[in-house]
Amino acid sequence: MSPLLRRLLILAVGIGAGAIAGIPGLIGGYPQFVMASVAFFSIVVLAVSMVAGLTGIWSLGHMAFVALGAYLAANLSALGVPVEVIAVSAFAVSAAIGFVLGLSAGRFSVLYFGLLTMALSLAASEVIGHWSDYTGGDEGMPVAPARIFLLGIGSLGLQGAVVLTISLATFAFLLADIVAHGSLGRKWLAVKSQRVASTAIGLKPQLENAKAFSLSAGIASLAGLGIAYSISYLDPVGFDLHVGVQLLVATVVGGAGSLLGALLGAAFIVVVPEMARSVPSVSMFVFGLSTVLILLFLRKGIVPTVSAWLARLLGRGQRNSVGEAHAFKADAVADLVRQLLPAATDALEVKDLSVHFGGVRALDGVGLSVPAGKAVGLIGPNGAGKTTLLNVLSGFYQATRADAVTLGDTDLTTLPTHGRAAAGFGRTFQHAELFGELTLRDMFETTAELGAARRKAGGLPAASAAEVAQRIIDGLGLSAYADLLPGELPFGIQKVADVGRVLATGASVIALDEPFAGLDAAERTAIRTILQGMRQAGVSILIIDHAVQEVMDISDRVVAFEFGRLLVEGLPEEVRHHPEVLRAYFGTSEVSAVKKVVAA
Amino acid sequence: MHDLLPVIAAGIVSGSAYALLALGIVIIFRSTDTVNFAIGDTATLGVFVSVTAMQAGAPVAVALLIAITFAGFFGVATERLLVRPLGPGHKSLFIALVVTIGLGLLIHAAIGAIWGHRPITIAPMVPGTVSVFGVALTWNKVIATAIAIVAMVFVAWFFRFTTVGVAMRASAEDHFAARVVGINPGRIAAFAWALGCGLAAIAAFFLAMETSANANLTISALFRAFAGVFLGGLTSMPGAAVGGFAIGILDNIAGRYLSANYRDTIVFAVIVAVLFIKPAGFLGAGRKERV
Repeated sequence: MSPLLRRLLILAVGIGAGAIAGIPGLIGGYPQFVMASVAFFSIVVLAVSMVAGLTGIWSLGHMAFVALGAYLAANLSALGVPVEVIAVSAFAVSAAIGFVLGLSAGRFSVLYFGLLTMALSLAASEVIGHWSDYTGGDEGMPVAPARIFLLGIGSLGLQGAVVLTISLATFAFLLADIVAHGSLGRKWLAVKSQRVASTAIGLKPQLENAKAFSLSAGIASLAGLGIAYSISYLDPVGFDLHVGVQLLVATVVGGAGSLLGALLGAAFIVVVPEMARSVPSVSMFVFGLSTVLILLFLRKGIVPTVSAWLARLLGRGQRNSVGEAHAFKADAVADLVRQLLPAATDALEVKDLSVHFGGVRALDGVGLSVPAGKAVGLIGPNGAGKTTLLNVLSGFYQATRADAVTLGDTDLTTLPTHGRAAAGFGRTFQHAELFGELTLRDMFETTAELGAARRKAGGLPAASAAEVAQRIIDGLGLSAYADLLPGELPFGIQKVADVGRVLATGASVIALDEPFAGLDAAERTAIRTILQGMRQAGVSILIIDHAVQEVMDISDRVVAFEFGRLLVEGLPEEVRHHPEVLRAYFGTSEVSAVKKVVAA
Repeated sequence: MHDLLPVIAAGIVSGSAYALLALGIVIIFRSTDTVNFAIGDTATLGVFVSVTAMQAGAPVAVALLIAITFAGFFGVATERLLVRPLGPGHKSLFIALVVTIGLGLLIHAAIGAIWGHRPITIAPMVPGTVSVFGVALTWNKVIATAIAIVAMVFVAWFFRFTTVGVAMRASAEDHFAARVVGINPGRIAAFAWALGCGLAAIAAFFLAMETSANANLTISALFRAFAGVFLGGLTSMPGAAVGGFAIGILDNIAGRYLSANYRDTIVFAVIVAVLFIKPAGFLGAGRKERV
């Protein structure tokens, strides 16, 4: 479904529901109450579901934000403050609290954060119960009718409040849809699926988590306004942990991250207790049972599972004819790289670098230099410290001691990983580490947005993120795969896409971690062609690999490490025949025999 | 501050229940990487079964054993039927938590359906009070604390000196390596879930004697047990025990000297502070991978 169609549909459902509830005499008070309940629950379920689907953070504490919105509405309405002001301030206060909480989410596991939000909910209930001046304590408090400034309504009736609640829900769904399918939503999915790799393209996971949780908290507070006006009385029991658990049930049943799922889930937790009013604990039983059954048998929830079935039924899910990767030439890649990467002007310098893990000296006083526009190969047997060096350059490991780790005048050691990406250091990963929940096109686009500043600073012609993504897709022969998820792609294509991603960052030095590892001959050819193109275009390259021959062919100079120390540095031919290198790879007694093999 | 000693004594007494629950949570987490949210409801169910046994004339000690055994078997069944089918991997961690939340709702509803919604009062094991260091405590509390401490000593002995206990510790360190040396992960999981839920049943049994058997018996205690787990670290058994007692004492001190109305909020604030200073808890090992 196209975004426009989806948004029009949301709007149509909202207007339709609003008309049914709002036209006088059409339905009675009870159906209106049920519609309002579904509407305000759908807002907060949407908030929980969105943050779970896009960031993987689960919250049991969202009722605290709902309560904040509700009690703010009750207190401010009594003072005659119009709804518009209340909505904006509830959203802002909740979003601010959510931002701080979200910042901490990155420090903890999903599990800890879930339990922490549970504690938030308990604390909120206690505050509501005892801060009686503003909450009415356990007794609850009445809510004065809403005043809508823009429509000139001084005192909104109950039926009007139902329409107001439905409007708030419609707004929340539109907002969530726009964010989830926009640039922010893609970044959050990138962070969710590959936290480490996302920092390497310049994202700050903590900040992205905080933004997502903040937006979600703000949306949840709008549900509070809906409750306040459509029920017109606040009962503290309506905001306790049990309701928070029901939100979780609704999210799981509907399917995390799904808009329709949020609506269905909300309807589920409203309608079941209404139908089972006469029999106590039946609804709890149904909630418990459906949660367990759905997680055991429809892991993703009803809506995503059913839509996957439908897609398969209609044949759209069949993807066995993905087509072939288009062949491409080094010259074309060179053109692509010239369009995307600023010319390399700075050298990457590492001087006297040591990394110790306890007593293990992974690197012991090594140095290397990648002059601007040159390709340097780094080889060495297992345990030589190649990957450790790359991880120090990326900022994943701290150097125990280093004279210099610099890119031009920039001291890389002072920068976090995402700062190094902004400074022009890009890298690829041995296992590609693509963002599992983004299509290749979305991944390139997201990365291209982050790289826009570097391309501009490098004086490259302006291009939108979508254009950059399209160029990469065409230039690297990925058009048959562009709209697929990484999990559906062969490993060789994933590695090509990983290189494409680093091209989108606008890096001026690119470090490649074992680009040839795990590939067959045809896939190696593709990677080799890309590397030749990058070299022609004058990118600084640091290539780390076991495939010695490939490294030798592509590099201007080669460095060999062994056991964390520098063994040899020189031209590829020199290093290839250097007795120390032969010894390191093949052992001493074999040297003369191997020399003959290598020479032949 | 002259009443500090009684407050601390009361804290240790209530903390013993939190410590048992916390220990149960940690033992289960170490074995299968699952936070069993239904542990409190499972224990409550065990208590209700034992209440029925007592009504049929079973002595209290036998009833306690019934509660422990029932909860233990229920735990084993939970792991086998609901948690193991979810499969391994860090993605199912939170899913498993939600499944146990769902199970908790189910048990809660089942208790209401079978035993009704009225609390059932149980006669304490030994009626009356006793003076400990000048502090008047009910015999029930003293016995509960003593049994809790005995149970914890048993757990310490079990993990230190029995083959199964050592195998469980090995498996907690590294599931994969434990399998390679021939430790059966299914049996380890079964032992851990039985032990964890059994310990929780002891806590729930004495909570019921203190107040009454009702479906919400362990809710507030479970929250404090989680606070204790955070304090000590999700992977440390001594940490869970110490954390549980610490929360009991802290809770009582906060209630006595700060505000009786904001006990949960104060406990929450302490958890948040601890998590910010030391995310892995004071005795927990830093995990290899953030789960």
